[in-house]
Amino acid sequence: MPSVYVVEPQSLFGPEIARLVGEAGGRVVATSAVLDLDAIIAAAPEFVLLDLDYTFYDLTDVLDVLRSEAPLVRPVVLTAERGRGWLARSRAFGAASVVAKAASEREMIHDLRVVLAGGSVWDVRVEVA
Amino acid sequence: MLQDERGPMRVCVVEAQALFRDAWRGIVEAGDLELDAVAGTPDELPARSCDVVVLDVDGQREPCATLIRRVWSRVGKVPVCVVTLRPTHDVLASRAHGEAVLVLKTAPPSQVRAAIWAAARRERFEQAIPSGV
Repeated sequence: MPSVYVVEPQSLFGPEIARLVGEAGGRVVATSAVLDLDAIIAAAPEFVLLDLDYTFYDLTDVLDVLRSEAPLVRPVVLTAERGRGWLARSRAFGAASVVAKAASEREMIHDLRVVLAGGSVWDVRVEVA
Repeated sequence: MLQDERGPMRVCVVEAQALFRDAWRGIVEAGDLELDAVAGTPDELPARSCDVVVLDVDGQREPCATLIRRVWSRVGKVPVCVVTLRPTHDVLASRAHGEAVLVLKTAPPSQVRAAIWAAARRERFEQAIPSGV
């Protein structure tokens, strides 16, 4: 069962994300409201699910650091952000997948199953301005 | 008196993040609250009254005060409980003007429910707000 570290600053929704990961066949090793790189490295998950919307974090910086410091961890970006070039930029900085929060629960579980099985999801909805 | 006289308090939620709309049922209905509807924007709320509206301002494209007025134009001038991850000045202004109760999404669900109740009773709700917003 693939291991997943969840970073969800909107901690009110942390349990929901953990539930969806479980439904998709993943094992949540931790759910954190803060981005703690040391904790991620110590947990050594196969995937880190990042929802950095509405925070001060710069996603590309975070992906860059993860790629450098935890190269074996596959970052999966969950976002409601939208704009042209978003997918290419995320991919260039090391994201393994980008899933839009416009997804329904069913879509999200499907997408997570694809990702956890080793595939990739690039949700074009994030490109729509 | 809302609950005693008319049954469970009916809550409508405005949540831009589609993925999290289902989560609100579990958050709201763990208390003596009944989830009436969840909409993506104030304009998508059902055109009927409810007891209180929970307004997640994150992901919305207008200032908090405008969103609150849109809620009121849709369902009547009901109490509003604003939720956000990082309160901006417009959100704090709405709270200061008594237009809404504010609770952060870093709060546990029980505290969010307490804020919803406070809003419905038109009471104050105190939560420490981080500085530097």
